Amino acid sequence: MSALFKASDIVSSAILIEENGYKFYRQVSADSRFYELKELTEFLAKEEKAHSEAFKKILKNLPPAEMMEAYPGEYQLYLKALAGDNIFTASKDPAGLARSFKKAEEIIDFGIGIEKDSIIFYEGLKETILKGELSIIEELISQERNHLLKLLQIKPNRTKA
Amino acid sequence: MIKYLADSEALKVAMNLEKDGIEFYTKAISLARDIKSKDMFLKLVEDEKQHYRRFKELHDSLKDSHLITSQVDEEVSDYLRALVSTGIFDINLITKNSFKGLSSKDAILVGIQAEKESILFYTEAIKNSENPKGKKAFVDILKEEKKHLISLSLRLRYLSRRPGSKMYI
Repeated sequence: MSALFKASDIVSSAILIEENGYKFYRQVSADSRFYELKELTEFLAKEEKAHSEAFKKILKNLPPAEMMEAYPGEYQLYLKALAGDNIFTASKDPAGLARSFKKAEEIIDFGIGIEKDSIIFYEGLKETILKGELSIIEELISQERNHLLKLLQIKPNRTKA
Repeated sequence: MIKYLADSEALKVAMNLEKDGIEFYTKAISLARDIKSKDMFLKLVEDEKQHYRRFKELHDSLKDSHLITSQVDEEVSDYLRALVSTGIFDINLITKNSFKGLSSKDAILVGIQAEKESILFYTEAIKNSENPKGKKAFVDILKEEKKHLISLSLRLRYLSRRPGSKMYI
């Protein structure tokens, strides 16, 4: 396994996650089976699109061939684990995935999972390659938290602690 | 109404996370068929037990006090309280499913999910905590949970690459 890890790889993963998130929510919002999710998923799609654009700007501003050699190998492994494990970096057809769900609750649960994954991934980014873009990442994390809370609020049969 | 998530409450959630982790990984050990997966689950159990002990000691020392100060970040605390109140960190919901017919890979995937729950919670708990010992515990244990995620992820990748590898539990 290469010890070198490009910052651009990680940011490209983030763009892919957001782009696929956008496609996923857009598909759900257009699906008449899930009319009750239309407003929320339209909002989420719009925000994920904006996040994708934010990461594209970050990618453009990265110094050429920035490497993560300075960072402990373990952190590279951690970010790789998060990026590799994210369904939206592996998925080639997020719209198809959205179509495969049969119930609104499945979509909500899935959305909760992907928002959590995004939050964890972006928290990881803060620690390493993107210190110069910290305020942007903080804002993105704040928005993903908001997404998570919105999804949790509409989840049926929520457990109360 | 107290809006903030008190340190004692956060530690209680942490204890539950670790306890559920111990239970799950213990089952995974006894049923795993390859030595490396078994050793990995053994280590995870020991680590989660240590984590539980540390959180419990802290929780017991804080039980009757609520360390609420004006320094608490309301937004972080409200967010964490909202998450906790929905039961989002109940990894028992993730790990409770029957082990019958579960492969090593499936068990690892469940473990990865459970570790992510812990990572998400401890990341926020660090920001929320005002007790120095509590904060340090969350920081230390967060680092270890990230290592757990790496171990599980690497093991999963290895098992996924092996042709015809269906190590059923």
